[in-house]
Amino acid sequence: MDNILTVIQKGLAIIEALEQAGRTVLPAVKALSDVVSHAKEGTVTDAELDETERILDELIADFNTPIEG
Amino acid sequence: MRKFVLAFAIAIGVAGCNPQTLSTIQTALQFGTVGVQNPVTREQLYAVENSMIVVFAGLNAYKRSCVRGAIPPSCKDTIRKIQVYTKRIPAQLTIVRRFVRQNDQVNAALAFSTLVQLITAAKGEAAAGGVPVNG
Repeated sequence: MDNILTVIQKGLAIIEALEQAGRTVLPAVKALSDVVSHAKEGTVTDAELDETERILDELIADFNTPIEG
Repeated sequence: MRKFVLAFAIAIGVAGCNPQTLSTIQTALQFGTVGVQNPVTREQLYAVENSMIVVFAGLNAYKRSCVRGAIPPSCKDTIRKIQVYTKRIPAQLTIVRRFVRQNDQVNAALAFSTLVQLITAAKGEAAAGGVPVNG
């Protein structure tokens, strides 16, 4: 639990910097808030897991798109 | 540009692809310690996938800046080298998800280990490519 909170604490610090840089931070913000919400065992629903996986799959697919040049 | 470098450095410092970051995530989420004694639960999968969201959000920010030409063109080679491993992640994730949802702990742990190896390899390529990860 402490480790998760440490990651979250550090993660929150990046949000302001990302916003200043004009980055789209919604996926990261959602991910961090979700981990906060479900830090306790046994609270993850199928719908929440599905939604997380959908977002992750999109991000991975985006990164894996071939880069030109 | 400076803002981006700073933001990226911080972002990757938390969730990106340098050894310290991934090590932190692995430790925090007990990424590398699954097994029969430490089963891969739905909550662990959920936490790891949310951490990976942060990782890939950072990688995508790096990639977008690379495409825009905001950082040196060598970034393209770095991205391609990382992609060698990240392209294998979706298939491995599918396997992990299936075993976790079936509560097949033995196979889930094996699949999870392979996933960790892919992430570790991607991390190595990123570090070798000189990605500005430590601010």
